[in-house]
Amino acid sequence: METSLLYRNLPSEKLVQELGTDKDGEEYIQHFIQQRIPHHEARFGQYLNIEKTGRKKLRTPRKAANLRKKQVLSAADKKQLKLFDIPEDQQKYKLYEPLHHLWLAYMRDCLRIPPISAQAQGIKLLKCDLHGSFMKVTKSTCPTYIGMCGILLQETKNTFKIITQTDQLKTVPKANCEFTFVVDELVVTIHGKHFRLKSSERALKGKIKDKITIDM
Amino acid sequence: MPRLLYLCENINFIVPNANIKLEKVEVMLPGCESLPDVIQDISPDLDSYYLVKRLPVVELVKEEFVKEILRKGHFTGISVGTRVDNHTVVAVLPSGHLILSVDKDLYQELGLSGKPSKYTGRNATRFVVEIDLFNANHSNGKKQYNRVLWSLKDRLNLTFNFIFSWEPINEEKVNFMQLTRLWDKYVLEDLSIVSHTIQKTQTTVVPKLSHNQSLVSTPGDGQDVSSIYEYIGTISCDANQVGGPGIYSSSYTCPEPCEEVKGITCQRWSGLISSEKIKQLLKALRSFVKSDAFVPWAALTVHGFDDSPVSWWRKEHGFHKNGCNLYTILILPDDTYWLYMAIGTNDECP
Repeated sequence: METSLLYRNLPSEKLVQELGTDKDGEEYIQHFIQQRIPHHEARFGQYLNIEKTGRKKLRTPRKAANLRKKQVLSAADKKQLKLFDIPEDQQKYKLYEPLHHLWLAYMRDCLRIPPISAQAQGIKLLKCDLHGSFMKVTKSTCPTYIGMCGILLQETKNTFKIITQTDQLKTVPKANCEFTFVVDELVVTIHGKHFRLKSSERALKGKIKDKITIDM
Repeated sequence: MPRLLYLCENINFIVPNANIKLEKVEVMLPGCESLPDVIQDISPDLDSYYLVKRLPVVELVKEEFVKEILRKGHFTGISVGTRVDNHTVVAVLPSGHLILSVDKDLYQELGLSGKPSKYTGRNATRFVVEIDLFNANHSNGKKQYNRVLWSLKDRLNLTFNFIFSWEPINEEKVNFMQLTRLWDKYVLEDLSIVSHTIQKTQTTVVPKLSHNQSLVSTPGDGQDVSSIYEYIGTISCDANQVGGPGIYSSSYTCPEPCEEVKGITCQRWSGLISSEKIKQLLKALRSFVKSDAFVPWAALTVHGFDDSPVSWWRKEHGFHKNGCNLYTILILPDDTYWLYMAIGTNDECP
């Protein structure tokens, strides 16, 4: 039977128009990434490069056996890719003021409607998202951190990334620090020592043990 | 183990100003029945010191104060009623340093960097913050200055009752106009230095000191330097020394060799005394001992505050079972001196 009746190759010109390229396979993926994340083009392209290079410069790709596991980027990969970094031109305090107002509205929603007891408020606060809050470091074993304040942009497992009013992005470790933020009349103090969870994990299973000390 | 240490040095020149905070001064003159005029003229009780109530620490840090008061004289000050092992102690030295001895909670809130105290072991519970007020960076507009002002004023408004003494360099009389103008919101009280005299008019026995005496002390030997010091101490405490034969309690005798003198005068002044005054006293005593044949030697004892955060050479001072930091200078007629220093447990050997 003639296969040409059953199927035909896709018209190449149309494909090229749709996809924007006539490259194939790996080259296509590289091109795709470059289109979407322009400033990461060099790095990601290198990542896909199968040639073995020195460990210091690049990570070697995962072996086939490991591919069965969930493919998550490790901390070293993230650092190298700079996916979670905020570029310099976006490190302006004014850009994030609307975020802060959004967050305030979200917090009011969370804590007020319906009216709840202080204990329940406490539980809710544990689970709520703090991105956009105006945090201030009130106590710390390291004196230079004391007094730092700004809008929270990123929360990692062990740090808070805050942008100060002087447009500086500061990374403050949670351990050995106490933070304070204000929502209308409510003043909340966070003991960083007991808050060392990723914000996503905290929202799901945020539980503080009963016997805790507030000494740093 | 808590310990007390006595040091003795035989020196030929005046010990330079060691920045100790001075609470009491004692002068002992064997061979005199009353305090000679030379010493009387420069006695510390002619000076006075001042108490300021509820003074915010930030006032001691402001640039105006540093320029007009600190740089133009010898300003010594310490906070009153605060203990160096429990509370926060503030001290200002003539060299322009502000020393804050704080506990852990305050240090973690204050925002100024300091060092942990040497006397608290691994888990530091006390910290010492030192601010150099004469530093070029401590001026209006600079980051360091703003940070210091912010943490002392806006962050935690620390206030204390403070005693101080100020001697301007270029003026004869103390001109308090500038100070009262700067601190017009606060209550300034005039305090006088208290003096106390012990006089013995009968002939007493005192140790005979010679400049080539060995300073290596051998306990039990009557000639050693520590027993001389002890004997001088008994005189200054006005202790009843001699029991006499037949009495069960042992009698305390003067260490050999000794000589008889007509009488002893022991004068004590207490209050905040500046180190400049000590220098003057030392000079006067030195010339007096040389000139008067009846006076074999003179002793000048200086006591520091128990709760002072600093001791000799700006080293840290702590309070364990006692906070003694004192020194005695024995002035001999041939221009030599013996220096005794007594240090407590929480002190560094100078």
